[in-house]
Amino acid sequence: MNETNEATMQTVYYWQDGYWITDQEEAELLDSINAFGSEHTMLEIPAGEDIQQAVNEQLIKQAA
Amino acid sequence: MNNTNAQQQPETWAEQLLKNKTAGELRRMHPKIQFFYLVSAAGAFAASFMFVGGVWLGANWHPSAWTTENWVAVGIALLMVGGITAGQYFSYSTGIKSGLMIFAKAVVILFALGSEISQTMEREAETVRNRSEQSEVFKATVGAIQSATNAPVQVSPVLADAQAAAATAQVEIDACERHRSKGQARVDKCLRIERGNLAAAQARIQTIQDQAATTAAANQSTALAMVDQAKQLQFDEKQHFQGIQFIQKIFGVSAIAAAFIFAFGIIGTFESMFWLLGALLGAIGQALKAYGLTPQGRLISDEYKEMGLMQDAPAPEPKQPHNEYAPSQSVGFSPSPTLAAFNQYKQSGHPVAAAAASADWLAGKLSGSPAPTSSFSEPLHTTRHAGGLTDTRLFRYLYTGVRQQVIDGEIKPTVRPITDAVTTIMRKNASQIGITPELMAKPQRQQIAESILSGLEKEGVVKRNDIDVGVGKPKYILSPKYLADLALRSTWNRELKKHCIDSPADDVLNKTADQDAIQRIINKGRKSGLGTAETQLSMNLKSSSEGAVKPVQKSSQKPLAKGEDETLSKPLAKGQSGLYGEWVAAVSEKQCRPSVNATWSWIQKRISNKETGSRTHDRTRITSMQKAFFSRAMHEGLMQQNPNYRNGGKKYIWIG
Repeated sequence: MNETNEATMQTVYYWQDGYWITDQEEAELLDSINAFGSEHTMLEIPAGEDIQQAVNEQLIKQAA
Repeated sequence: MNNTNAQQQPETWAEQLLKNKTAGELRRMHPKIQFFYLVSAAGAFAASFMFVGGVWLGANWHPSAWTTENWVAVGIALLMVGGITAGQYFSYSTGIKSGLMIFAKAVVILFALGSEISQTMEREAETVRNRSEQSEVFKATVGAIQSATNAPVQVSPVLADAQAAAATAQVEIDACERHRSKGQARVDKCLRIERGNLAAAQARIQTIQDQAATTAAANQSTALAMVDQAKQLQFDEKQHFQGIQFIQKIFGVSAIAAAFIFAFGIIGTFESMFWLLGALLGAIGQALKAYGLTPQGRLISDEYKEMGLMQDAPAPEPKQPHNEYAPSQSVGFSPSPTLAAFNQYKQSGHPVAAAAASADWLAGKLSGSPAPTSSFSEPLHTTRHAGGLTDTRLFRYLYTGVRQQVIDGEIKPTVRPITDAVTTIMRKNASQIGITPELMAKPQRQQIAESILSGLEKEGVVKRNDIDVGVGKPKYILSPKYLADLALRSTWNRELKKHCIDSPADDVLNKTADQDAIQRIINKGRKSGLGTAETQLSMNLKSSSEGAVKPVQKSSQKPLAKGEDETLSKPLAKGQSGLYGEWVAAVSEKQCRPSVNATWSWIQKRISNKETGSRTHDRTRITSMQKAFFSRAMHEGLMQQNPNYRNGGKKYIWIG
């Protein structure tokens, strides 16, 4: 069951300005120099879902 | 995957022409090639007609001697060969690739090759015959035959003497009775003598006649042999063209086989060039069509209008998903798909006609519906995963771009400024959309502007100017609803600008904005009940959801390490923005070149004294940072890979 979930989920790392990437190591590296003015946040979403939309929804929730 | 497929599929002629030739060059090439194409068609027709006509007329090419049957045969040959040549002419230049078309082409090519090769061989044989009959040897042989056959019949004197002797002996035999008076013995003696003489004479005659018959037979044999020789000399194999004799010797084939190879070489080349001209003409036509032009250099839209098809042109229905402008799922950016966009663009047919159709579609789609969610800030390069721009998307891009500028009050809703805006948008984004304003005539851009205005009117963004009517007065004005929004936004813009916040949102400036000030404005808006600031924020978010990555500020920043160099940057000093924002600003202000080395050094200098000690920023890590910066900048449409990059040149171009 867990394996199925892992296979159908994907992890993205986004910043507060809406930019996102899928590489955790790169996200940490960029945070280490405060590249984007905020620290990244991890978000797990179903594979195939629109990442940008999911990130935007998260940001709207946070902004509300 | 797409790249792999693209590499596997060779470019068509039209695609290569598009890359190598301008519209003007193509337009100038077209009539020249068409002229020679017509000449080739005429040559092919003549050669085939000579063959078919020759077969049916029996080489009787003297119209004055033609019977009714001959004239009918010639008429049928004309129609038949004309049809076949027309088949060649039109099929070569259609550009249609199908099994049936290939079969049809093969049939007409086989006929053309067969008839023209046969005709060529026939002509060459006629030449050989003429050369042979003009040769001295042939003439001498014919002369000898004539001499032999026309020699007068002469009676041999020996034969005449023998015949005379025989006649005399016969007379003497008849006169032997005159010796009767001398007795029977004398008569018998006379008869014996004369009969002997007669026999001798007859024997001589027989001998002579036998000799004459033998001689005549010998002469007849000689004459017949000379006729045979004359026949051979009448078509002397040595009179073939040197080229044919060369082939004959090299390949060890018969003269007729060598003549066939020779003719095939000539006709094969001709037919190949005939086909080549047709195919080239078709490719040029396709390439010109991609430029929105007919082969005669006219606008296809004009042609459509003349044909009354402009309004009826099928409106391409965009079927892109809502997130079509979203970044790719794995990387966040990919190189600009200029060529892919260009290919798709040109394959989509005439841009203006389709754009006008798109305008109608858009107008119909948007009429009575909420304003489109897309905006001018929608970065075109994010269409990368879609494989490039279609004409509909090009028009949508231009439309939304102009629409936003009209709504923002940046341009007046009249044809001229909108045409200028279209030109500017096309020029700024030429690498992404694959077309420059220079490739589209001004009337075409004006036509697009008119279509955009029409769409804006139907959408309700603008309305007819019924108030201030007159020469020189604008035909359209911004609708009251948008005028009110504009005024409201203008108020908020001023307020935002007081706090160094750029509005509409700007990637760089917003990063430098005071987040607390923004929050205050939002709160103020909430208290006032207007919610304008929220709208502004929502607008940003909404745009972001469309794929245009716009900064949505939030007050969660990582505090900078102590001991930060104060000269680094003002934004960082406040902790309002990140190093990336600084770098973008630095490149925009030309304080840092958008190159790998310059950016690497820039990053290295700024993080050298910010190390936490937990991890050392080695060269590899700095390179990763530099790549990440480039990745994001390209994702945001601030920079792109230089399509004309060469060793020593700029690999990246800053377009922000």
